[in-house]
Amino acid sequence: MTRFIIRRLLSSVVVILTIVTLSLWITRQAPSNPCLQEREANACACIKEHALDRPVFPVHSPPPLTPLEGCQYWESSGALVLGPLEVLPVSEWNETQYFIYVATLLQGSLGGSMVTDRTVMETLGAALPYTVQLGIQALLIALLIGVPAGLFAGLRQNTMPDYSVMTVAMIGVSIPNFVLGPLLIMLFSLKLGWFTAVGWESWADSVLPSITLGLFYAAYIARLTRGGMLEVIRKDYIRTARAKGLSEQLVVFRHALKGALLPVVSYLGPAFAALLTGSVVVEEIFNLPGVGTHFVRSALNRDYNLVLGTIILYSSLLVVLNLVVDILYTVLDPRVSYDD
Amino acid sequence: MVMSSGNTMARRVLMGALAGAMTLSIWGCDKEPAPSGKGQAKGGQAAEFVAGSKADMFTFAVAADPQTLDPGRMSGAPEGRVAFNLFEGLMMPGPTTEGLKEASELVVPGVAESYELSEDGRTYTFKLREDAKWSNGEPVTAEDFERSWRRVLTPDFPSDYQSFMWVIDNAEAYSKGEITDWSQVGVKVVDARTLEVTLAQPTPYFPELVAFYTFFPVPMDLIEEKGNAWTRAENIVSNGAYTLESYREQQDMLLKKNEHYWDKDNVALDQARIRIIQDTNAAVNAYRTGELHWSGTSLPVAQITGLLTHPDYLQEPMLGVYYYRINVSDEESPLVDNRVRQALAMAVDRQSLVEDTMNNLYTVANHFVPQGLPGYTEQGPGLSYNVQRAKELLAEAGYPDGEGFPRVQLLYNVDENHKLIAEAVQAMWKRNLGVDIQLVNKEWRTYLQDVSSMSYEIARAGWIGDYNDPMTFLDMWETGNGNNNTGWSDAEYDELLNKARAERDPAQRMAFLAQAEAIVLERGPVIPVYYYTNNILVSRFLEGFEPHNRDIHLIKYLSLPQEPAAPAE
Repeated sequence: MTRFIIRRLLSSVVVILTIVTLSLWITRQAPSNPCLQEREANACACIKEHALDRPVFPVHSPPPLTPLEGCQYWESSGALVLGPLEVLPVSEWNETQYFIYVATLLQGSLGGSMVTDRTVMETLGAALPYTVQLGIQALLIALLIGVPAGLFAGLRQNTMPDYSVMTVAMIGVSIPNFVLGPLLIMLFSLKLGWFTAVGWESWADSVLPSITLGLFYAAYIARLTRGGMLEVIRKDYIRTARAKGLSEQLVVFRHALKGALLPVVSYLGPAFAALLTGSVVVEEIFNLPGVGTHFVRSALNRDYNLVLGTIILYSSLLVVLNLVVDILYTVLDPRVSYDD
Repeated sequence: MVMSSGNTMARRVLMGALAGAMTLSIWGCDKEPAPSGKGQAKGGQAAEFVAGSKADMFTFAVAADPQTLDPGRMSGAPEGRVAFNLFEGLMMPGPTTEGLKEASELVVPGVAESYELSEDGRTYTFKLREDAKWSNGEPVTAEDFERSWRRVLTPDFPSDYQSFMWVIDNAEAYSKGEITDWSQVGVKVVDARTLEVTLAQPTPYFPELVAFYTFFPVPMDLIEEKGNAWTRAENIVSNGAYTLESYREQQDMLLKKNEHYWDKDNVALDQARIRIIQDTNAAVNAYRTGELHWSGTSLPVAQITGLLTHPDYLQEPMLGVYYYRINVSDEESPLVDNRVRQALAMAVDRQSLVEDTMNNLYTVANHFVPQGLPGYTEQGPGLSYNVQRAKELLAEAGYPDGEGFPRVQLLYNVDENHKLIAEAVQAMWKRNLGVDIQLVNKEWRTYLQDVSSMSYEIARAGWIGDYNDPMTFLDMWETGNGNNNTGWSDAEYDELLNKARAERDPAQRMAFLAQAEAIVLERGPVIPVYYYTNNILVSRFLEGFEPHNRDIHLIKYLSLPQEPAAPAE
């Protein structure tokens, strides 16, 4: 197991470095740059400050330079150029945007934002706790509602209660959170005054966003649990357990549940990752200080370093969460083993 | 100052889908606007809200995290709002611009208790007050200003408003590295309390410029010690009415009265909280639930119309114009022909646009320079809606009834208001001239790229004046100005601006500028549409909040004499 984990962590470094390389290339492909403004501003100084006047990679296709009143910057034409490639002399490699960025990473830093005067670490560090707490709460809500509802429906297949629960779940999956969020605000903040409408000052302020974010997943988990239950309940070992004369409660909770929850567990990793990365809209509706908002805004601002920082954060989370799910699997299903 | 920051646009793009749902929720609560200022429950509706009833101190919102708190580097509206309270220039903006007849009334003494202007109108001698202090108790001296200004003018220093300082003698050459001897720049420290500034030309609006944040002093010793980190709440030293207590990204900033501020006895509010609320729907919700005393930013048309009769609703005039700019650099384009541009301008029914499309929230712009600038009178009636004349002009240009007119593109950045206006204008040009226009909308940064590289034909634009002088609207159309972005160049126009710059008689100067504006309207690359107004919500219990056409409201002028009573159920 330890060897498996070490191997996975090492391969993760390669995965993340590949993601960084590709992302860096993609961010530079987008038209415009972080220094451009509506009013004539000192864009040249900004471009020099962020080394945008340097080539992106040591290998590039000409002509990549666009002049901008007294300085030049590397602006993509928007189209992929597949012409002859130029290679910079090795001595100049460390002055390319890519090498500068990787060197920053190796120093344990994510660099400075290109739009604000804060560092990417500061910005993400301030935002991450909120996003994680929101994600965990939403996931708890999803599990606390989804698993019992799925069990309840699964044990009553094709009965009225089953249909009712599944209809509610279907509605839950269908309502987008940009509709649910404002509805909750309208009812519980504006109408009843129970919660504040925007911001995150105390724990109470995280209730409505967690519900908004969690309900979709609750509905999905209910469907998964029900499906898992239906599959497991017909298995031979359940029949054996029943034949042994065990109580229905013992059969369901000791034998069936473990198997029924496997699809839910394998869904938890991606679901938690999706909760962390997908809270953008909820963060925006409730004006929460989370990571998602930074991700979208940094992309729109062409704040390359913040975009890359967020991507690194998200991909690291994904890698770790998938690893955790894989380990959880061995606990739930004894047939799974990673030992050589 | 430009109208829309990238952040605002980002939010708009992100929230496009949301707007409908949220508007619905707002509208649902506001079918019956409050008939009076007294909080009262209405049949079947939520109880009337009281601004700030849930705030523990004076609270208002800004629409984005400030990109920086360094006055020398900043350029956006949220940044400015913070800077005007944390820092103080030689002069400062007054509480209002309403009813002012003289440009000199626009600013009040700040760190400088007075100034003298030389006979030739070029040399200002500022006398600094003795009790002006930094928040650490150190005195603010003339040298602080000199060092701060020198920092902004340093070549390659990323200051967005560096060019504002170019009115100072030799400042432009210094910032461009053409001269390296700072003593040749017109900023001299006579003694600790006297600063002498020599300008390249007489600049009547210079007192308003020094009241702008780029000219504010910054603590240079601290900057040398801490670098960019000097603006962190735990480090920052400022010289304004307030100090920064704390800053939480995407959440809020806490300001506290500066105990070393020379005028602290006249500052009523001991502290203030600036909430960062990026989405305007969320800002309205926060206002409604009593978390804010002032919405801070202008709310969009769809949001504000439901609140027009609310006692907290306030419409301020704004020194800004919404217009279409035309690219005249492409020889093949019909837009090169001035008759075509005139025809397009005359075929826009601004009255209907403002009344029907914009719900009367803005005012019709028949000129380019907004009205009400002290000492300035526009020439003639300006652009009028004249379909007959527009048709004649288009026919003269070789396109009778729009025949043979190529399909021209109209570019705007993604935003509901821009879309509404573009569609209305498109329909007017089709109906009145038989001209087909293709609408192209792009995300903010791409739109910026297209405009700055002149890859457009007609593009929407907005311009908010940076100071109360027609020059802030007119110098952008000068040949070679970085904000021109249309390829338009007119020798007579440039000449008039230069005459205005050299002119020392204020009336004659304004006359030159009015002539220049007439040229822009007659043969320029612009189609003005409307003048902006600032549509906000402000607590009726807040005192000292007066209209300001550049939307500058210093907290030091405000007070909350009575805490509003809780709303009646």
